[in-house]
Amino acid sequence: MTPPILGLADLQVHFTVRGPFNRRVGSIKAVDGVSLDLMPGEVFGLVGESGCGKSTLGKAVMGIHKPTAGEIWFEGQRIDRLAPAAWRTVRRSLQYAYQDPGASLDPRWKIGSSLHEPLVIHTDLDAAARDARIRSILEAVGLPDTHLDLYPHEISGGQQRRVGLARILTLHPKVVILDEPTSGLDVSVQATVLSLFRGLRATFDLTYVLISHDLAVIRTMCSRVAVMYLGRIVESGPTDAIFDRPRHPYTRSLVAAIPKIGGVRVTRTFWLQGEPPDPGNLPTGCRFRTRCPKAADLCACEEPALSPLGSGSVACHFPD
Amino acid sequence: MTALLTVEELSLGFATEAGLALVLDRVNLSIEAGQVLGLVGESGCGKTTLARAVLGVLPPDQTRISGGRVLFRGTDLLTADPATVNQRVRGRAITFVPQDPFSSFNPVFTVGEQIMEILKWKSPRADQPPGPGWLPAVMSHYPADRKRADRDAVLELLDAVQLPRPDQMLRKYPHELSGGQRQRLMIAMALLPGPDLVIADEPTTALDVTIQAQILGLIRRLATERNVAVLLTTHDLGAAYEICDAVNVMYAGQDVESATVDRFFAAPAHPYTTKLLASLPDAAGTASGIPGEVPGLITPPGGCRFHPRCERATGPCREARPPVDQLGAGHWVRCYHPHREAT
Amino acid sequence: MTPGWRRELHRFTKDRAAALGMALLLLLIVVAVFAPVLAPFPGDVADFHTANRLRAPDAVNWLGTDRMGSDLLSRIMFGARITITIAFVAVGSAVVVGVPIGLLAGYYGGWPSNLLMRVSDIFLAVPQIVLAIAIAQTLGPSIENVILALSITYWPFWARLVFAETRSLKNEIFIESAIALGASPLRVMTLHVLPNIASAIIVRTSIGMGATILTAAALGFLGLGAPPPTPEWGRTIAEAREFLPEAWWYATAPGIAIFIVVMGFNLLGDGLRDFLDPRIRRGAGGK
Repeated sequence: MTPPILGLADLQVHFTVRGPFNRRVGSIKAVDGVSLDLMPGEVFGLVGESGCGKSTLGKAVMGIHKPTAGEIWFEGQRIDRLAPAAWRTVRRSLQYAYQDPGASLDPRWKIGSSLHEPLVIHTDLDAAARDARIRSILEAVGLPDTHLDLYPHEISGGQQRRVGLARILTLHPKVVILDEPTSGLDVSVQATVLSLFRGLRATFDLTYVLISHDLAVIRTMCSRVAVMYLGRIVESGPTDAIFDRPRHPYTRSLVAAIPKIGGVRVTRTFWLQGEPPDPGNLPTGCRFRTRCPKAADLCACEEPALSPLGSGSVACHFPD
Repeated sequence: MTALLTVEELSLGFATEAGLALVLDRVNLSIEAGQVLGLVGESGCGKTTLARAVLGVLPPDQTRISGGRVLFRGTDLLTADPATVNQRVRGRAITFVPQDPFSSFNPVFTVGEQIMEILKWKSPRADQPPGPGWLPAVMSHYPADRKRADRDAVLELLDAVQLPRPDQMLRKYPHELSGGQRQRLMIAMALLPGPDLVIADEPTTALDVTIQAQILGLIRRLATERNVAVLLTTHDLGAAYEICDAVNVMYAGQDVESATVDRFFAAPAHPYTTKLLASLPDAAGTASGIPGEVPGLITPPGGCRFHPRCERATGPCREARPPVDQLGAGHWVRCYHPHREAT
Repeated sequence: MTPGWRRELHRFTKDRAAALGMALLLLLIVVAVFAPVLAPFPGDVADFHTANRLRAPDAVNWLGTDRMGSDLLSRIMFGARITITIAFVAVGSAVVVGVPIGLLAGYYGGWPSNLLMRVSDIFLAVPQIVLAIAIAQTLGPSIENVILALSITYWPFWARLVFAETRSLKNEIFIESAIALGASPLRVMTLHVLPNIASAIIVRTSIGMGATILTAAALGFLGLGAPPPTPEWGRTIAEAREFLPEAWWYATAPGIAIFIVVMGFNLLGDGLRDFLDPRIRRGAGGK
C-alpha cells in the first residue's frame, strides 16, 4: 500500500474578525476540520463555491496561511509548523500554481531570469546546467527558446501562463496545487490549457490538487473529488460516483445546476433556494441545513461527520 | 411583423493609441418582442460593445461609427434626437443589467435611495418623463402620490426576484449584500421602468454555479411573465442553451451565425460554432481547443476574420466577407463552406 | 542598461519641459566640475580686489563684482560646487537611510514596522531650519553641519514613500509567488521590490534635490553655512542685502542661479514621473 504523499488531519484555518480598537469580535472558520489523503500520481479535485474554503486550504498547505489547528503531512514529514529555512526544502517538491501563472512573473525581469531564479535559490547547479534544464522545460510547455530574452509584457497572456508553469516545473516538484487554473478563460482556451496540464503531468510524473468551482473542469481532469461547503468536506469519492450518484444534498444541487446541452433545462426545475449563510455566523449542527430539503431536528443538533459510504464518504445524516 | 430591435450592418471602431480598432464589422441582429436572444462569443468578439452600442453608452470621443443602423421600434437610435433617446428609450424602454453588480452601485447610498432615484426619472407612472427643468436634478420635485405608487411597485418587484424581506433590503448598503443579491437587485432595477427590452451583459459570469442557475431561471421566468425581450450576452454556451429562444454567434467583431436554440445546438453550421461546441467537455471528458489566437482588431484578417484558424478556408474567405446564407427558418450563417445537415 | 536606452532617451526628451530640466541639471554639473576651467577669474574665490568692488556687470565682469571686488560669475560658478555637494550628499544620505528603513518596515509589518514609522514621524516633526540653527550653535557653522541637519530631517520622506510602495507591492502576486518559491526576504526586497519601486524613489529624489537646495540656500542666508569667503549662494544673497537696491546684480545673480537649478530639478522630476509611470502601465497592460 503506497502511503499518501500529502495528508491533512483535521486542518483548521480560522481568521479573526476585529472590531473597533482591534478587539476580537469573532472568527471566520474558513477551513473547519478537513482531513484528506492525496495519493501519488492522482489528480485530486477540490470543488465548491465561493467562500467554501478551498483556496484557503490550498494556501494553508503551501504555508501562505498559518493553520489554526490540525496537521499537514508531506512525504512523511509534518510541515504545518515549519521554520522558514526548512520550508525552503519542502517547497522544492510542493508547488503552487496561481489562477494566472503569468502574474507570478516579475514584470521587470526577463523571462530567462525568472526561470533561472528557482534553480538559483534551491540548487547548486552552475549556469550551463541551469540553462540546459530550462530549455528542456520550455520545450515541454511548448515555448521557443527566443522567449528567454523577452519581458513578460512582450508575450501574450497564454504564453505568460506557460512561462509561469515552466517556472514551477524547473524544480521538478512532486505535487502541484492548481488554484482555479481555468477561471476567466474562454472555453476554447480552457481545453488547450487542460490538455497542457495533462501533458505536463505525464512528462514530469506530477500529482495534482485541482481547486476549482467549475464542475466541468473537475469532471474531465480529476480521478477523485472532494466537495466543500463552508469550510468542511461534505462528500468525497471517485469522480464518476460524485457526478452520477451524488449522495449529499449539496452535491446533488451542484450537479443539478450544471446546464446539460441537449437535455432538460435545469433552470426550470432547479430547487436550491437562497444563499450560503454568513460564514461568521454559522448555523448550529449541519451547516447546510438552512437550505436543505431534508433538514430535520437531528440536523440542527448534531453536525454530521464525514463517514465512509460506498466508494466514498459523506457528511450527512440522511444521505441518498 | 417588424422586429422590436434590428441592428443593420453596424460597423464601428475605437480610436486607440495604436490605431483604429475595428471592433464591429457590419453586424446584424434582430430581436422580436418577448424573445430571449443569446449573443454568444468569446472575449474580444464585440458582444459587449454591441450591447453598449444599442444602449448608446459608448465613449463618444473614441467611438467612430462608420455605418449601419440600430432600429428600435422603427426609429434609428443612432440618428434620433439624443434628448428624446435619453428620456424615453435609455433606462426606460431599453434597460441594462451589467456584468459586475458591485461596481454599478454607488457605495455611499443605500440601495433603496438608489432605486427610488431611478424611479424618480424613469417610472412608468410618470405622465411625461421628467426632463431636466431649470432646477438642478437633485432638487426637482418628486410627486408624493407617485412616489408611494413607485415604492409599492419596488417592493412587489423585489419580492418577484425572490429577495427576502424587501423593506429591510432597501435600507442596506451595497457592500452588505452578496453577489447574488446584488444581481437580483439589478434585475429588479432593470424591470422597474417597464421596459420592452432588457440587455443583460454576462449577468451570471461572476456568480457561483448554483446562484447562476437561480438567476438564469429568474430572468427567463420574468421575461416570459412580463413579455419583455432580453438580449443576453454570454460566453457560456450552457447558459445560452438554458434560457434563450435563439442564439447569435460573434467572432472578432463579425456576426457569423444565428439560429433558434434547438437548431443551433443540434445542427451548427459555421466552423467556429462547431469548434466552440466541441471545446465543451462532454460526458466522456474529451474536449478539443481551437488552434491559434483571436486576431487583433487594428489590422484584422480580411474577409472572414476566422479564416486563419479555419481548416475550410479558401481564397474567397480571405477576400470578402461571406454574405448571409439562409439555411432554413430562423437559421442563417455567414460562411462560404458551412457544415450542411445531411438531409 | 536595458537595450535601446538611446531610444528611451529620445522618447524622454520629447517632453520639452523634462528635456529642459535635464539640460539645466547637466549645465549645473558641468559648471561645478569644470569651474576652475570655466570661471573667468578662478582666483576670486579667495582673492579680493577692493578697488574693483561693487562694479555693475560689464564686459570684464559679466555679472559684476561683489563687495570684495571678486568676480561674481566666478564665485557663483564655484558656489555651484557647494550647492551640488550639499544636495547630493544630504539627499544621498537621506535615501541611503530612508529607503532600507522603509523597505524593512513595509516588508515585515507588525510592531517593528510600527516602531520604525513612528520614529520617522518623530524626525519629520522637527523643523529643518530650527534644527540647523541648533546644530550650528553647538558645533559651529559649516557646510558639513548644514548637510547633517538636512539629512537628519529628510530621510523620513523616503522611508514613508518606500514603506507605502512596499506594502502595496507586497500584495502583488509575483511577490507572493517569489516567496512561495522559497526566496529569502533579502532577495525579495532587493531583487524584486526595489526595482519595482525604483521609479517612485527616483522621482522623489529629483524633486527632493530641488527642495534641499532651496533650504540649503536659506540656511546659508541665515549664516549657518560655511563662513566667508565660501562662495555659497545663500550667503552671497545675505551679503548683498545691505547693498540693495543699487548693487542689484549682487543679489539677483545668485538668486537666479538658485532659481534655475531648483527649477531644473523640479522639471526633471516631473518629467521622470510622467515618463516612467505610463510606460510601465502601457507595457504591462498587454500587447
